[in-house]
Amino acid sequence: MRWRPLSVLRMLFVFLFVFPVYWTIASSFAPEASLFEVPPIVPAQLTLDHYRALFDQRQFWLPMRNSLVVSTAATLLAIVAGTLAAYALTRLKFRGRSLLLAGVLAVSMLPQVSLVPPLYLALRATHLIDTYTGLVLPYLSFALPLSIWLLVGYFRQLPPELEDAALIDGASRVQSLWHIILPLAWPGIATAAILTFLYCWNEFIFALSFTLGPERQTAPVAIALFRGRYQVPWGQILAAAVVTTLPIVAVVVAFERRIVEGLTAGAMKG
Amino acid sequence: MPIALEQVTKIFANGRVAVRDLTLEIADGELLVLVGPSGCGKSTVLRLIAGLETPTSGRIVIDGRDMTGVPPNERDLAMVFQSYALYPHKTVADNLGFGLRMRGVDRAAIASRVGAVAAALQIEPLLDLKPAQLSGGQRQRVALGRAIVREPRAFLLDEPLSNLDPQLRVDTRAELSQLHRRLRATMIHVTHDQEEAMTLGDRIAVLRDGAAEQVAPPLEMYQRPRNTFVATFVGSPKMNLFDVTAVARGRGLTISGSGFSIESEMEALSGSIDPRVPLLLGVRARDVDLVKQGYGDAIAQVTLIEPLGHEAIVRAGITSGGPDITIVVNADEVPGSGETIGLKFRRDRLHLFRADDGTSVT
Repeated sequence: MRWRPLSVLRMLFVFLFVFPVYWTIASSFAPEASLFEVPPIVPAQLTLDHYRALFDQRQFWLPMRNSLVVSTAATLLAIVAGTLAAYALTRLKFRGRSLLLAGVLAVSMLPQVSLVPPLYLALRATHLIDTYTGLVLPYLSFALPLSIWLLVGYFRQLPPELEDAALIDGASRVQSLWHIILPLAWPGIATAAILTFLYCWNEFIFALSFTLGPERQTAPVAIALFRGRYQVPWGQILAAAVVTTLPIVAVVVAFERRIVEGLTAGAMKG
Repeated sequence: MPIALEQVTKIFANGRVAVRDLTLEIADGELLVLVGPSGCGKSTVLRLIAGLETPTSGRIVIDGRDMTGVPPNERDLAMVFQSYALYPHKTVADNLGFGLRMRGVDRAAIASRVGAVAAALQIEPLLDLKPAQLSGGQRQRVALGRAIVREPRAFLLDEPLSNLDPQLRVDTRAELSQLHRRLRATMIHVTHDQEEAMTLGDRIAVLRDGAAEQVAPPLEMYQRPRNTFVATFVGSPKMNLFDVTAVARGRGLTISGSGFSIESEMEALSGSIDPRVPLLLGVRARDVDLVKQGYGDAIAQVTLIEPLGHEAIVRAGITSGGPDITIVVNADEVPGSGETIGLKFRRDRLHLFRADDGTSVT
């Protein structure tokens, strides 16, 4: 390999992205004492202590369960509603269409913190504080605009003639959505689902504000609360980070194959 | 099944007028060709008939019923798209059968009808393939098959041949013509290709800016164009147009232009022509004969020769300083480049138009 500036840059990038991941994984198996060794390359000794502590003392499966339930529910709702909304916004003609789309974008631009007080009051009034519903609904405030925007972009790429053809072939709007648009939009839907799931999975402020205890706290909140008054259990935090990343990796791997399938099947013209 | 457009206007949301007060009647079993330059609204007319667009005003009547607001899936028409619009995720067989499936035809009947159409179009070996695996010509046949298998009340064809290479296009054009004769179905065919229009149509409608310039059978369109737009659009090479004035003389007309002057026997006209009104003389390239110098109506110098094999297109400048003219001559009488030639216009094939609005006065 020749040492061209570009390849050096490339390696630097790879290093920048991969090293923290490597360090997190490696350190999560290292004894607490060796965590701050320099250089932090290879732990001298491997241990499962942090993971044991995580699940035995901390009962980390609880926030994992909460995260899974909330993120999955919010993603499903956002994708189903987002798909229908994006379809309507791209394919149906009605007054105020572009205004509505701009409105969706504007809503998602509000800083999340500014939504906390009003949402808190609303959730308290409806007795939804510290419930799954009380997290899923606020999550839709960012998940829905996100999925709508991603899907609108994808639906716009699909040739409208395909749907014209379906309508002329005798399909109703719903049938053409089901038989023609959805199979073709599958890669876009998968992408939107992954990103929405990621956002929900990593969400912190709502989860912190609208839950009261470990019964409903999500993983990011739980990890943040690991810090004690006198010490920070770094080993456990790193182990928790690894555990929290696994579902994301699983989701991406599961969907990625479908995305590739969808892309190769979608060829329209030669 | 007859189809009629009654004073249909379509204005898009951006204010563009695509169709302007268009009235058209297509008889049962007729093949009408909508032809015109790109952007003339011909595809919009098709989409209006299909129900993919709703007219801003006017009515669309199909089989005697007002279908103006009826959605496309209830009109029972078939359409072939320029891009073919095959469903990329479905096999050829499923593409063909989709319309029948949507209409609740049972599986066995779908299979047999798909099989019959595939056999007729010779696409049986392709039934299990996806559109991406087909050549352009094969896709076109599948698109056509998808329309035929439904046995619709009428066919709408939106430039179905324009994505084919020239040889295949000519073959498919002939097949389309046979298909029309066999099915006896009403067909509306959109194209920008005047030759395609001439060869296919029972009648042709020439569209410009969303309005019909002339609706007539191909030969009539060619021989008696109603205005200069139709005259120059139909026929290849384009009709020559010369600025002239005409004066009644005896029972005929004397038509004078720059570099030529001809006596014609357009006697019916002689009374109605005002010598002060500027006119355009239209002469088709095939309606000019080569003659010895001095025996014709004009003398011209050859500037360019485009041999086509059995004939050649000759471009020449009428002397001295007159307009350019395009003529078609037989291969055995092609002049040399730069040669001076005599031209005689066939008297019975002359067209006169008003110079101001282009309407025919012949």
